[in-house]
Amino acid sequence: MSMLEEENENVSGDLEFRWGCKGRTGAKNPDIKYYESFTYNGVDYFLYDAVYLLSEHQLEPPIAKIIKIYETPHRKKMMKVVWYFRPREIQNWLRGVHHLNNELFLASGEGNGLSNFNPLETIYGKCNVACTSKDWRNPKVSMEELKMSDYVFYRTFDVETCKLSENFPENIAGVEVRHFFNRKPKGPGVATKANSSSKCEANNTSNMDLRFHASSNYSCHSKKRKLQDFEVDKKKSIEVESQSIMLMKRPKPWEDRIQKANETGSLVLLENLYHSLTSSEVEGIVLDAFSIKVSAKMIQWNAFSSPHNGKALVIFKSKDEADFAISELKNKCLIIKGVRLVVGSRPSLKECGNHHSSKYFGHITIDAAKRKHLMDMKNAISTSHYAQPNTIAFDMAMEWRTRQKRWELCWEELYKKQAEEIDNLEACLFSD
Amino acid sequence: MEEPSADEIYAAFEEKVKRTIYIDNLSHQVTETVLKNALNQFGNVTKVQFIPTFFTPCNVYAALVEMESVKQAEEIIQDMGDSTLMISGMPRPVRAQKAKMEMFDDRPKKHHKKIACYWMDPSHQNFDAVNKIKNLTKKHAAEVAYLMELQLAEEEMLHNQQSETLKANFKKYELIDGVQTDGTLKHLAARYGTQLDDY
Repeated sequence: MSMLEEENENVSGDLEFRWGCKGRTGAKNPDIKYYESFTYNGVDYFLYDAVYLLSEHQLEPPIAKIIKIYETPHRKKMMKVVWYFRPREIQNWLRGVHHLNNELFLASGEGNGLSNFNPLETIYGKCNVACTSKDWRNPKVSMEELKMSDYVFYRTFDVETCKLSENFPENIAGVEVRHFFNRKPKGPGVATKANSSSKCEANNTSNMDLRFHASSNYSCHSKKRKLQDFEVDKKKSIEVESQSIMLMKRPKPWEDRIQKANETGSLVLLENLYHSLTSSEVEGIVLDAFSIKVSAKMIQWNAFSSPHNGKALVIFKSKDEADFAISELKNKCLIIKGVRLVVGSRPSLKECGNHHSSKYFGHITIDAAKRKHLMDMKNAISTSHYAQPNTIAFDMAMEWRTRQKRWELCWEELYKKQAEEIDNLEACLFSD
Repeated sequence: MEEPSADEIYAAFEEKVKRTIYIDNLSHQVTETVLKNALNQFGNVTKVQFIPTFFTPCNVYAALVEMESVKQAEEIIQDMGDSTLMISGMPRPVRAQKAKMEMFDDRPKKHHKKIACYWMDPSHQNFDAVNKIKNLTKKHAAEVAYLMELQLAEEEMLHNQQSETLKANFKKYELIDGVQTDGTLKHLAARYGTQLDDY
């Protein structure tokens, strides 16, 4: 590995770099030379291109838009970039917000995380980002362009307020917003440019990894750290906010209906069904057997439920219908798929309402004053993590794990025994 | 756009099941957000849904977590089996396993065939077996409830026992703290001629 890196360092000097069109001269400092384009490792980069950047800390390379290209008096090649956020980077503020898999969020507002100054050598490659915003200022992308694009964006993420918005401000980091939208179609000129650069890229693919290594020792931009800093600041308040949104968004229509039907007596529990049946198939069976249209819900299986006893809750229109069905099932015998025998009854539902008050065993809390003594217990109450093997928590967790395994065996054993009993009786039923 | 066929829908569902992790031993404090964040540490969560509990006691709280890829799901299940992941509380770890089709609420039908059913009349020669099977179903349900009760009781016992252990541990820490603050430690160090710099 170290050999390789040494080699790469030599290569880095040879990486092709060429300035392109000159831009305006700096108003504040005439020693700074601005450019509108440059060629790096065979690829032409222009102002307002989206690029992947090198990062040692992140698995996925960060993506940014170049908004300034310049050379410092010390001949350092620099650029200013505005960040695109990946959903993952701002996941704390995205809860419940639907987003596309290849969606990015353009940074906006003022503050940490909006933009950075980076050496040009931190560029890893071009990134094709299309803007799908319906803003009138945004030239619409064609289907083909959309297919070609690596990422899309139509929302901004304000680094100050940590809010998403579909409305784009007049300018971002002092740059007119039109530069962030799609480029206006220019005709054939653009196409040839793209072609030539992609050709060069193809020639140089062997250099790609080398370049990655060569420049990684720059470790130039500090986006990650800055972002984390502000994450710490904002996390708390936003967490509360998004949590309330999430709770509002979670309707429970079925649970309400079942509860209501239970109160009026029109709810029937069917047991001994196949687990593989779907809710609509159960509705079909009831329609067949009783000529009554109902809504049914198969009870979702969980790791404790019996593998032999599929259950469904059926909502009849009235208590009379429900009573009729129960008595029919009791006096006669409904057989499905030629083997299974349906059992019907009035269900006794567990209360769903008092979840939060019910006690959950295995989560021990210690009052805060004492907690500070135990480092491994600190911060642990609200986070999710693997226990470290050298802590009390780990030992206790292992105790739970052993119990869990034992219970698993108990359940397995019980269900095995039950299966045998069922098989025996079913054999009796269908013997001639 | 062409409508996907029933087979395609079913295949997509099967793939989704493979990408999904079933997690239980969850406390009711765990919300969708908490769970999503917990698993986002190891992969990309695309969906979280809790399995409603109508019949199991409230302490059985389980969820289905859909990951981006089958590989991610398999790796996470493997990792969670090897070590102990705690979510929203300690020290009881959550348990992860492969999701099964029957755990999903929105599963599509596999066959378009209607499920055949018929009534067996009480006059049938084997009808006494029917009543036996019906009773057996009830008996089995009672057995399940009983085992669940036993498990709960054992959970409570372990919980109490661990609480005690932890309290004892804190006492120990307090004792050590006390020895440091009231100067006993320095006193002892001087007595035995050892240095305290390392502490």
